[in-house]
Formats: sequence, structure tokens, C-alpha cells
Amino acid sequence: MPGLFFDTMERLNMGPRVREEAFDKAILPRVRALAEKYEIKLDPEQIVPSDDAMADRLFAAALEFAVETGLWVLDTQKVVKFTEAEIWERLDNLRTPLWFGYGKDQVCLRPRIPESTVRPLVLGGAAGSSVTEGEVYTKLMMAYAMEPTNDMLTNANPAYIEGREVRPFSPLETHGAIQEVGWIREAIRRVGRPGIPLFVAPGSSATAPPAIAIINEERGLRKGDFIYAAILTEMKTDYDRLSRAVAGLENGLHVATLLAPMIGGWAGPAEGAAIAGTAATLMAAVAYDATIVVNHPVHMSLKNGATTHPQTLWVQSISGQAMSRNTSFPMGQNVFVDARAGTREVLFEAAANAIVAVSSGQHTGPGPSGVVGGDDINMISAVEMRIMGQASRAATGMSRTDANAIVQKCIDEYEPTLGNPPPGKPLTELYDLDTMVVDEEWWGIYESVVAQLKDWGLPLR
Amino acid sequence: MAFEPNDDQQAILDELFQAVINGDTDRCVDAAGQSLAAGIPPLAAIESGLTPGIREVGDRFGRMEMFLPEMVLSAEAMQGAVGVLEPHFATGDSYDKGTVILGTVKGDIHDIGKNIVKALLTVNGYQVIDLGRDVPLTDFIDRAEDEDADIVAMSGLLTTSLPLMRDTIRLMQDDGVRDKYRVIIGGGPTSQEYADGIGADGYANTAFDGVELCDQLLGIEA
Repeated sequence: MPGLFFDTMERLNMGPRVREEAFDKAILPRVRALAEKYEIKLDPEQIVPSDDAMADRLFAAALEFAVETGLWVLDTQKVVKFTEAEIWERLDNLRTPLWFGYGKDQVCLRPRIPESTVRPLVLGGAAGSSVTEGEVYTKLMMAYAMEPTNDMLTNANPAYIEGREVRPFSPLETHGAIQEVGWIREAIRRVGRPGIPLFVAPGSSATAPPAIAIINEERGLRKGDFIYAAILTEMKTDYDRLSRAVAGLENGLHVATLLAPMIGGWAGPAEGAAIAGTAATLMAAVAYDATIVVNHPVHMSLKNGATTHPQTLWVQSISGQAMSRNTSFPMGQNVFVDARAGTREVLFEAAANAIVAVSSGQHTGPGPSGVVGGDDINMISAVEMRIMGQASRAATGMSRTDANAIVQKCIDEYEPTLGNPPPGKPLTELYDLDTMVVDEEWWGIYESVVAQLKDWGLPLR
Repeated sequence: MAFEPNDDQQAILDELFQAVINGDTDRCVDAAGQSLAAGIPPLAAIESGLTPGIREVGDRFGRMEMFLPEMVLSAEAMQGAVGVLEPHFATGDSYDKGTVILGTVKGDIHDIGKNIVKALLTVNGYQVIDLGRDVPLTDFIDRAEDEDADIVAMSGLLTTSLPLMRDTIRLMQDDGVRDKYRVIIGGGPTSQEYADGIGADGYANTAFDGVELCDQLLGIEA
């Protein structure tokens, strides 16, 4: 049986040295050839394509690419490879359905396919967004956990820990991670959802030791929660990521693998990013023993990593369709917005991303979140998550054709400001954090966007 | 006085232009040798053949008609040709705009943005010393001193990268070398406000902005 505990660890030190530059440069010619061979082509009018055959061809291309490319290992400068038979052995033996979390807050993940009527999981939170530490952070987590559509909770990034900036590898980094998960546990207790599954990559830390330090049945991540272990862009791993996966698996946690195929980067155009991202998903399944992949394609033109560029949405859609039509391995779609809380644009971005994910056979989130600059903190609220979750429910069972039409309309709303979004407002102005009531003006914007989405045919209740 | 090529010389300049765009180092090096044999002043071969080619590459990259690995190959092709031409420079000729120490700060392994900056700076005439990813702050300073650099450029994608940028500038101040270098920052969580707050000389929102920023800081006209 292939997998992390024997085969991946064994293969980390096998074979000849491969220089990183040579590995990187080999990707574009290969994915280009595969895109041509398998006729994979982005149609800008079809952000949610209804082409089953192309989705299947993408899967075949990705499988071929994964087998021949493998994962380059930063620490050893070697390449870990798995055969097609080994990949299929893993995919053919996935356990489904899967249950996450505890008690009444447990949720069930069932395999989905494009246009599936099976309810998707919604992962709400704001990983990547800087938030004031302590009570503001806790209140934001409460707001997410209070959203009825939220099945699983992910973290935000505390801007400071004990009023101090956090340095990687420092003791404060580990302390910060423990604090963070403590605030999250406190938040879900306060709102009566103590067993909601946690999907946490501590935002105050960059390295493996703090991520592992928060595995703690009493106060931290428990069996049935998730630990993040990314595959690096493109098709790379390292001891840090693999150590997180090992620690999670040995403690009964699920591994969630984040991956970020880049449009404009080593894999070239959107078609290349789709092949590389889908191939990385297969590698996560076999090399990390991951339970789920969180797909976060990025576009070279958007510095903050928003997933709502039309081309990144296409990559999410076609990759999700490829995986869900050919395997029962689940994908979530990271929802990273460009606009900020308090604006119409951010709500259309969140809705579009959710509709793409759900109609393409995947699960929604984590998100919506976004990276903003420097000390510009708290530019996030749970209202964006509310519309993401509601759009996910409403898009369940929707045809890809109908989904595509609504997504295109959403894009028309936010694309003019993509890359240069309106300023928005901070959480502290958008909520009364004492009473947890949303600001009237912000709620009015939300209601107007809901009305617009309904008018376009999204069956929101 | 501007160099006026004859038809044969123009054909060689065109070949340099195309070889750079194609990212073909062998062809570019050959054309550089031909340009010397044809009596084209080395600096003119760069300014009228290689530079327009690499500008075209940058423009195509910006329009996403070319991609990062292709731009890297073009930069390598151009560097190969410059290596042939440079020993033949006339006294006073100079091609280097300046030396940039570049890296992703300690604890951050996200380096694609940094790689794009490296490629764009290189194709725009900068000598880039790429320290890679996960770079200790002392390495930025030590290499800047060793290379007599003009600019120290720090990149990061994670919010935890920010304090290390501040720390590097502080250490440069403590070491008494801060004023020897221009320090710039970029990457997901950085901003002009943060750059101002930590005493950096500049912030670039995109890789393209990074080139303009370096030109501006060194008083170079585009």
C-alpha cells in the first residue's frame, strides 16, 4: 500500500539529485504538450464548463503528469514518484462517507459530482486575514460559528500575539498558535458548537512546530479535526510539510492539503495550472495520505492571491470536475477575495466562488478571506461567509450552464475593481461586537446583493 | 553619436532580438559573436538588439503571452550574449544598472513572486544576487557588503514575514550600514504604509513596479 509512512519517507532520499531550476523549467513544456494532447482549453465564456469529456481528459493529463513528474523535495533535492497503479490503489480504497467533528456538531462528507444534489460541506473562516488578537479574534470566530451554513471552522490570522510581532521559529510563534486555537475553542463553546470540526493552520505561525504543538485533545486540535500540510507550487514538498502530515495522522487528525497552482508561473497558462493543480491533488492523496485537498489557484496579476479572477475560477471548476467525476477524493475550493468587507464587490466574489465550487462537484471553502497589506487589519466579516454558505446551498443540484450564467453576472459586478478594490470597512465598524449585531448599512448591502442574486435565478431562501 | 547599422549589421541585431525572445542561449551567443565580427560596438549590440528583445519579452509576460520559465530562458540567453560582448566594451561603457540582493525572508518558502522579480530585474539590466527562500536576515546584509550591492530587496507572502523585514533594517542600522543601500520590500502582506513604517526606501505592489522602483531609487531613466 503506497502512502506517507513507508513509501514517501523511503523515497525522499532515493534517486539522483534534481536541481530545482531544472525541475521548474521542465514543467511548462510538459503541461503544454499534455494540454495539446488532451485538448484542454479555457473558454472565457465558460467559466463553469459543462464539458464532461474535457474534465475527464484533464484527469487523464494530470494523472500522466503526476506519474512522470512526482514531487520535488526541497530538503533532499530529489524527486518522490508514485506509479499509476500506486495512485489508483490509494484512490480505489478511499473510505466514504467521512465524519468530522464531535457529538451533535459532527458533519458528514459524502462524495459529490458536478451538478450533484448531495449537500456540500461549507468551511467558513478567514485564514490569511489579519485580525486583532484576543477578544476581537474570538468574536469573529463566534460570528463564523453562528452562521447556520457553516459546517467547519477555519481560523483567521492574529496580527499580533501579546502585542508583539511574531517571528518564525521563535517561542512566541508556538505560544501564538496555542493562544489562537484557544480563542477558537472558546468561541465555539460560547455559541454552543463545541464539536464543530476545526480546520486550522495557525495564522500566527509559518513553521511546523507550532502547527504540531496545537494538537491537543483538551485545548487544541482533536481527532477528527484537520491539520494543514501544503504541496508547494508547483509539485514540491519539504520536510516541514511532511512532518505536519505525519504528526496529524499519528494523532488521528485528517490531513488537508492546500495547493496553489499559479497562472502565469512555472505551469504557464490556466490550462497548465489546471493540469499541475489536479496532478498535485493526486500526489496529496498518495504521498500525504490526505483526506481532502483545498485548491487555491492564483493568478499572477493579483498580488493578494484572490481566487476570484475568472481564470482561477475556471481552474477551480475544471479541476474539481476532473477529480469528482473520476474519483471520490474530495476537494474544497479556497475562497480568497480581492475586495474587502463592507462592499458589494466582496459579496459577489464570495457568491461566485461558492457557485463555481458546488456546481463543479466540490465543497466550498475555507473562506472567504483575503490578504491585505501590513497593519491594515480586521478588513473581514462573517457576512461574506454568510453569502458564501447560502450560495453553496442554493447552487446544490444546479446545472453547470445555469451556474455559469450567474457566475458571469457576478464577475461583471466585481471585475472592474479586481486588483484595485474599494477600501471597505473594518470588522469593528461592521459589527457591534458586544451584541454581535451586524451594522445596518452593511446588512442593507448584503440584502441588496441577495436580492440581485435571486433575480438572476440563484434560489436563495 | 547613435550607431547607424548597415543592412548586414541590422540583420545581426534582428537575430539578437529574436534569439532573446526565443530564449535560445546558443543562438544568442552566436549572434553576439557575429556582432563583434561585424564591427557592431558591443554596447550598441546590447542597446539595439538585446534590450529591445528583452523589453518585448517583458511586455509579453505582462500580457501573459509568455510565462515565467520562458522569461527566465530569455534572461539567460541575454546574459549569455552580454558575457560575450562585455569583455569588448570601450572604456567607460557600462551595461549594469546596479546590483540587487534579493530573497524571501526566513521562515517563508514562497518564492515564485521573488523569482518573477528576479527575472524582470535581470532582463532590465540589473545584476541580481538571488539568496533564494527562507533567508536569514544576516545573509541579506552580509551579501550586500560582499557584493557592494546597491539595493537589498526582501520578499514574503506570509504575514509572519513582515517583522523580519523590519528586523533586517534595524540590524542594518545597528551595524552602521543602513545608508549604504536602498532597501525595498514586496509580497502579499506588504504595503506602502508598512514600508514607510519600518523605514524601507520603497515598496512595490507588483514585480513590474519593482523594476520601476529600482530605477527610480538609483536615478535611472527608463
